[in-house]
Amino acid sequence: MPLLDVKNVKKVYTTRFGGNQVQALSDVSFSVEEGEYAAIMGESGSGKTTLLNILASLDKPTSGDVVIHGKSIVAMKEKELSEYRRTNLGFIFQDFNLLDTFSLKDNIFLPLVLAKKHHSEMEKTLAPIAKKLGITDILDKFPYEVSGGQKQRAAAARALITKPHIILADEPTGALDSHATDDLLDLFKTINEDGQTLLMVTHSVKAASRAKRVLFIKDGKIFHQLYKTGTSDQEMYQKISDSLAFLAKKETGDE
Amino acid sequence: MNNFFFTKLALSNIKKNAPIYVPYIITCVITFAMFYIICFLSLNESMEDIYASGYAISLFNMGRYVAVIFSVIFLFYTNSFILKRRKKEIGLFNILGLGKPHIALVLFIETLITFTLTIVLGYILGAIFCKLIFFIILKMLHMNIALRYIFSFKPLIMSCTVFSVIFALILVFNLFNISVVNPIQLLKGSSTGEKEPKTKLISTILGLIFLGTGYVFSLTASSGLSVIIFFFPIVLSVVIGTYLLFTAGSITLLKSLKKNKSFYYQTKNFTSVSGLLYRMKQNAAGLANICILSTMVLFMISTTASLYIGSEDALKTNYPYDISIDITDAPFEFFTDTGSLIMQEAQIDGKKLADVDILNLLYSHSDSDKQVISAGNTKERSFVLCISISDYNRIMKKSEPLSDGEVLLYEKHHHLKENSFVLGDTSFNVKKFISEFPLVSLSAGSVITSFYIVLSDSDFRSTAEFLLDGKTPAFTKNYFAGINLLDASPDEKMSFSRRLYSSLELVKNKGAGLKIIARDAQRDSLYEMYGSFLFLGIFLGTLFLMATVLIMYYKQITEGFEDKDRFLIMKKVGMSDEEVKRSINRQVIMVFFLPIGAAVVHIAFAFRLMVLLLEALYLVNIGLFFTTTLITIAVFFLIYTVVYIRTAKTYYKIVHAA
Repeated sequence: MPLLDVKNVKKVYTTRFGGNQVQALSDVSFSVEEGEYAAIMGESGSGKTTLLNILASLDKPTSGDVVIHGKSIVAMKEKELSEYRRTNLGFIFQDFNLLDTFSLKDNIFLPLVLAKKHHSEMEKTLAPIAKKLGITDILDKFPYEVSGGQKQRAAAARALITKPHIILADEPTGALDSHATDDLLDLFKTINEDGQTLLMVTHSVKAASRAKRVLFIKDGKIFHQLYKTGTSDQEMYQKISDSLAFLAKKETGDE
Repeated sequence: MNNFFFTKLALSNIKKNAPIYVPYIITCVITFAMFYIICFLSLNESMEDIYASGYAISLFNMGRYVAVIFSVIFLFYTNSFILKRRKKEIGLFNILGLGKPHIALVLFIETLITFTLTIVLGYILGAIFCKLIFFIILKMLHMNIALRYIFSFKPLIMSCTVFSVIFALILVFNLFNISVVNPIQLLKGSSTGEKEPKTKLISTILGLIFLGTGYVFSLTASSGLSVIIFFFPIVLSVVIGTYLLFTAGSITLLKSLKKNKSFYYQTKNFTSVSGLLYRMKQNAAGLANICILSTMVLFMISTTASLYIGSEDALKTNYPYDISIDITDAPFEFFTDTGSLIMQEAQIDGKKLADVDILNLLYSHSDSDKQVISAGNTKERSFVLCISISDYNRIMKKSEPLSDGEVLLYEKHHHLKENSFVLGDTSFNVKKFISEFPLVSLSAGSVITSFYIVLSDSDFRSTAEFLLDGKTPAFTKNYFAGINLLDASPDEKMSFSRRLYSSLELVKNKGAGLKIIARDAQRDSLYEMYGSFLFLGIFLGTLFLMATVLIMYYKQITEGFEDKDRFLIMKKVGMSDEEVKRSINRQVIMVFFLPIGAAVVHIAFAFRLMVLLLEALYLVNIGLFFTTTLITIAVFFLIYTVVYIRTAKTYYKIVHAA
């Protein structure tokens, strides 16, 4: 049984004025196995953020189903969902989404505090994660005192600390310089090697080339996918670029 | 053509920013209307004929000055909220190619529109309410004058001048603010990174000391005089203490809560403590303002309302008889002459018109700084009034026995710690401390420590002889007649006292000091005084309350915009809607009710102070004052809660509009 199973998800937005209907996702189906590291690629407007919001249970699909670990999250009530998000999902965002009013440590503790864990337990859980991410020394600093790369590592720690089934990353390298991007991607690789399932949405070829599998989304549909097995990062980079070029050509060809 | 474009832009700006602009315009309009009303009451030439004495006019003038200062501060304050929220929009205009002079022009037109709206709507509102308020005032001051509403240009011109100056200042302030920053800073606007506040232990301790000093002083104040002397320092000390504790104390407290890990890392405390920490950093001064404004409102309204309601009480205490006649420095034979004169006037055609009480009194001049009574610790200047036991028993309808060398003593503030004292050349033992005395109002006003002494008849005579032989110029022997008219209307009482006064002129002509007071004549001036007090209290109270409410509203709205993103993040991390709501609620309630809670504590500590102050104005009914204060607090709380509910709703809407 796959860890994440997306079945025929469709999402239609109705604009507030005029009642125009915009189809963001037309029919998306795919699944992610435990321990996988998958990237979803697409142009802006292709529906990838909508898809991620649905996977994150922040938005509901118009039709279709999302099953995580054998449980449908579409049918869940809001109260169940927040607890579900807390225990099963970890999030990493492009703009970090750290709270300015908390130190990095408190930001990382936030999901544990919400889960009503005891303080000594929190510290024990944090220590190895902070060491792995190399942020032990800056835990008492505030988000505005550290660099973007450090912020993103803190955000990763916050996602990891609940030991979630799956980590959802939305353009995690979008706000980072190339050096910090490399660091973060190395980090993702390490945590994936430790058995953590990762699902990343990105339009960075570099980021996607590090994933084990890349799904291409276009016009609200999964269009194509690439498996990395055996290929090097460089080869994968080339393959992805080719696929994107093909997708773009097809579009012009349509017109 | 070009100007038309800028006017259109200014208009659309106001429309677009309606949620923050409309309350601002309403504030301006109401402030203008209230200012116009107070100008109308104090500047209208024809009003001067209406007030019987200068009290009302001078109080209303004072009210006008307070209103000017207040309007300036308040409008600046609300304007700064708007400016902060609009910086981004102005920065965008700048980047899109609107030069600073053009932006200045747009702002000028906006100000002009706001100003015109303020003047026109404010005047209409003011003019409508003027009539009503004018009528209320006549009623409150107990004036039986036919209502004639007189129009005058003076108040309108005055209000327009003051407000055009205020608006000009605000415009200059805004232009200056925009000109000193570059567009990028403008774009960033309010979202500059906030540092975590630092613990300020010294300020906290200083705050505790200031507040404690103020509280201790108000709890230990012993007499009205010390209240009047120390009133301003006490208020100042409490104000400073409040500011320090709100700004530094709150942060120190929250920081120490944060240090307590097992408390801090709990779901219900985690977000609240850190959220409040930042809220307090940004808003502490504003909350302290609200606390002080609320304290002022409560203080003013409860004291002035008590004074007004207690007017009859005060009259009775102040003037125990319908007519009081007090003659000083007259040779003895005049006393008997006057006595028969009064008796004669009191009877017409054999019909007894009045009860007459004639008393011999000994009392110290109020302007003497000589210590007239000595007993251990009594060093203060004090007022002494002596009466003989037979007069006392007659007035009080008692038959208290008293032997020579013994006295009955009435002394409100219990300054005398021993049971004996020296008056003149004799030492007296206090036989009993009595709780009532008939002529309390004869003292120079109860701000001075007063001793009311009942002596035995022979002691009274010998003490009088000793004190009046010229060696002790501080003393006079007084002849006092209290007259209670039987079955008479106020008019009859007035005419009787007038007749009496002309008959008594001869006493005055012979060099004696004559004071003749009719209670009903006093009633009018008392009502005018207390009525204007109350009106001013309500007027300024309303103004301050409006300010409090609006500051709160703006604060919450501004914070709502800032909190929106924070709560969205928390939701993503796994906080349920329910938890978000609860966390918001806890913080909003704290921010809302902390100032008013502190204000109520201030009032509780100031209660004794207020009681002493009112006693100095002859209001001795503490029960009445207590009830009035409680009702004032309850009403204030009610209005405040209504505003809270409305604001909380708007706040949720903003935060949830994610």
